[in-house]
Amino acid sequence: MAMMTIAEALREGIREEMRRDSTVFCLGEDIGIPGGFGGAFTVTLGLSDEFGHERILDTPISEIGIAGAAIGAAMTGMRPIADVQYGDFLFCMMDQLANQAAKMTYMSGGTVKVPMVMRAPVGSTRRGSQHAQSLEAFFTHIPGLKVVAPSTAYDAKGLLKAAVRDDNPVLIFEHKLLYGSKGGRSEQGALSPVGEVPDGDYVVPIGKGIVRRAGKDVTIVGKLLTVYKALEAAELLAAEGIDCEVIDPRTLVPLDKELILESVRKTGRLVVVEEDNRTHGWAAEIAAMVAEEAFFHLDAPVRRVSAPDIPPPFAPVLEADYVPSAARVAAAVRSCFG
Amino acid sequence: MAVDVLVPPVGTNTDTLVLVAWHRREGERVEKDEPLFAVETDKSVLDIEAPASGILRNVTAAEGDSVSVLARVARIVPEGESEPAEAPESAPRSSAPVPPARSDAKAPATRTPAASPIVGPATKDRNRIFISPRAKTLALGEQLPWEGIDGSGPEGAIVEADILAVLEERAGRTLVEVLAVDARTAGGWWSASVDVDATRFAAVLATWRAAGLAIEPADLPMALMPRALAGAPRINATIEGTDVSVWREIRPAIGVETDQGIRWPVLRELEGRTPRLLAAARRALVDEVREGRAAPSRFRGATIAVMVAEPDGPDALSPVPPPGVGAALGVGRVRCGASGSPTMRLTLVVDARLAAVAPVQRALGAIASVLAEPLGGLG
Repeated sequence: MAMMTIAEALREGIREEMRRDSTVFCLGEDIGIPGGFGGAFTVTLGLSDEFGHERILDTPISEIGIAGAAIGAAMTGMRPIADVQYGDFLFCMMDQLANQAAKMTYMSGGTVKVPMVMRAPVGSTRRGSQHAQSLEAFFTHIPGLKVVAPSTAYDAKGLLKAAVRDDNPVLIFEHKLLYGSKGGRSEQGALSPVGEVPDGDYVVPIGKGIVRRAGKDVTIVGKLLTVYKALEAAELLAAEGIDCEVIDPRTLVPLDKELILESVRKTGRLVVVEEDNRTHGWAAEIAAMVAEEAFFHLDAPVRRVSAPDIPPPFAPVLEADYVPSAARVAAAVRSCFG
Repeated sequence: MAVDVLVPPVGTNTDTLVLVAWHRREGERVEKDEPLFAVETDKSVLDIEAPASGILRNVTAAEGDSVSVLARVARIVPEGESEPAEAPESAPRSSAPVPPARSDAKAPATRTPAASPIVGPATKDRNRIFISPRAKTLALGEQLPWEGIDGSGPEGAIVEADILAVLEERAGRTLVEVLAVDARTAGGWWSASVDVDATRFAAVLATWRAAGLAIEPADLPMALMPRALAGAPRINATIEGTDVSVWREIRPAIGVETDQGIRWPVLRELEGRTPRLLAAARRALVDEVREGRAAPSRFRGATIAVMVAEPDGPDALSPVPPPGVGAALGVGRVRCGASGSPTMRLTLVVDARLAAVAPVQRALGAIASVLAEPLGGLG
């Protein structure tokens, strides 16, 4: 059992999968160049030393090229792990992702599989609107894609392995403030949680959430960075006598609805926290699901804590207001009580 | 024409603000753009300016009230003009919108259409009762009318806790005494066991069953509980931290084995029910729990815990009471004792904060004598 950052755990997971299965390979921009960072956030650092540049494949700066190569390879028997430097660049490859990869299995009557993994960093980290969006919820609205969002090192390795072995396209969204990237790629204000990661093979099943903190008064659902904001708020609120349960779904598609519903049936109150933009968002979907399936257990209106409906601002002071804070989460929880 | 005074949207994420001060009182004259009232956001206090000149009327929010963004908190009526007769405080959300009069079709709209129908919590209609779905479900299940109950939830809504408080009161769960316990003595359990001659216990069960009553071994101890605890009133108690509350009404949590372990639903209204009705109520409750249908409220309000072994169950049960409950009684199965007559073992497990060893033994003795002579309590 080793203590690892999320970047290290992902690297370990990729390394083990590549050793296990020769059809697994990585591709992306600057993921293996000598003297490079190992991708934008050090996840693939050093892997080309073991696997060579055939399997740690540096691509031109062309997201559409990365997506096309990855999807084509997946359709023809390989298991690619593609890397985009910033999640925002997924928009460059929308036709390939949304119209090709997501629909191929359906349109071929299940005869063509696309076992591709696409890893994408998200989160607002003082880089301005085009390097900061939280797009994980956006991609939950495209049937055919699985979407996972690990917030701990343990989950990062376990979900990556599950994603590699899944026969469907799986998007892994990773938060820049959680990676624990080091050196020139370390992030200002990063949380960089370090967690225990078992040696060797284990899988975190896609579609299973987890209770990060048990409580009886209110359910807070968060993902990626907002799990930590929710936990921070829960500590603040514990001092006020409000006992929060914090749930991390870990996988957004398919969603572990029952875990959330079971918690709300117990607590009667729900606050959903997301770094995504508010309107038509992920929190809205969770709220609707609970309203439909656990309405008679609700003791207060459902509250959302989201980013406002603007692009992530560049100015640090504005960005600090854009990203949900623990104080905002706590205020939303308090408003569930009289 | 009167002008509405609305709470302005402040910031992008604030839905409610606290109105901290009025700078003008009802009936006073105000000038357009002068500070009229102040609101507090999570960051600062802001003065809000008057939207028009005139007399301040229809003030609906007091200082210290929480107000919703875009809620109407007052009106400004032009000087000399009387207060608008209609003054709709706030149309209930459920009422149908009033169609515009056709003859007015050419008249320009004088009020912002978006502003008038918005109902904020602070201006909520006093004639409407807001109750959460959870509280309503509970109240309906308990056949409790909720009119007149004070709501303590968001926007003054009645929430589950309000209904539970009324139910407690209605059930006459009168507090007998509150004992302060030294926290240093907290933690741990005393337990005492005794074998009871179950000849009469088994005979009563057999007689009832022969008469066609659907009664199981677990039902008889429930029916006997009020009499049994009359001799041991102090163990019908709940514990919170160092506070021990001894209760007059007896509400046993009954131990039910499920796939998720032992659950403790609470059997209410024990006293005054016939054994047959009690058995039916217990069976319904156990089914609800085993099928996962039991609402959270079913597990609340216990004053004691009782678990009875199935006929093929263990000879002795020593249940640890659920959190907050002071004592648990375990009743083993009826078996053939050393003397050849039917015997059952009773075990009383009591939170060490509640009583010392000797009182536990005395309480167990009192309970045992009642279970040994069941008809004494049912005749």
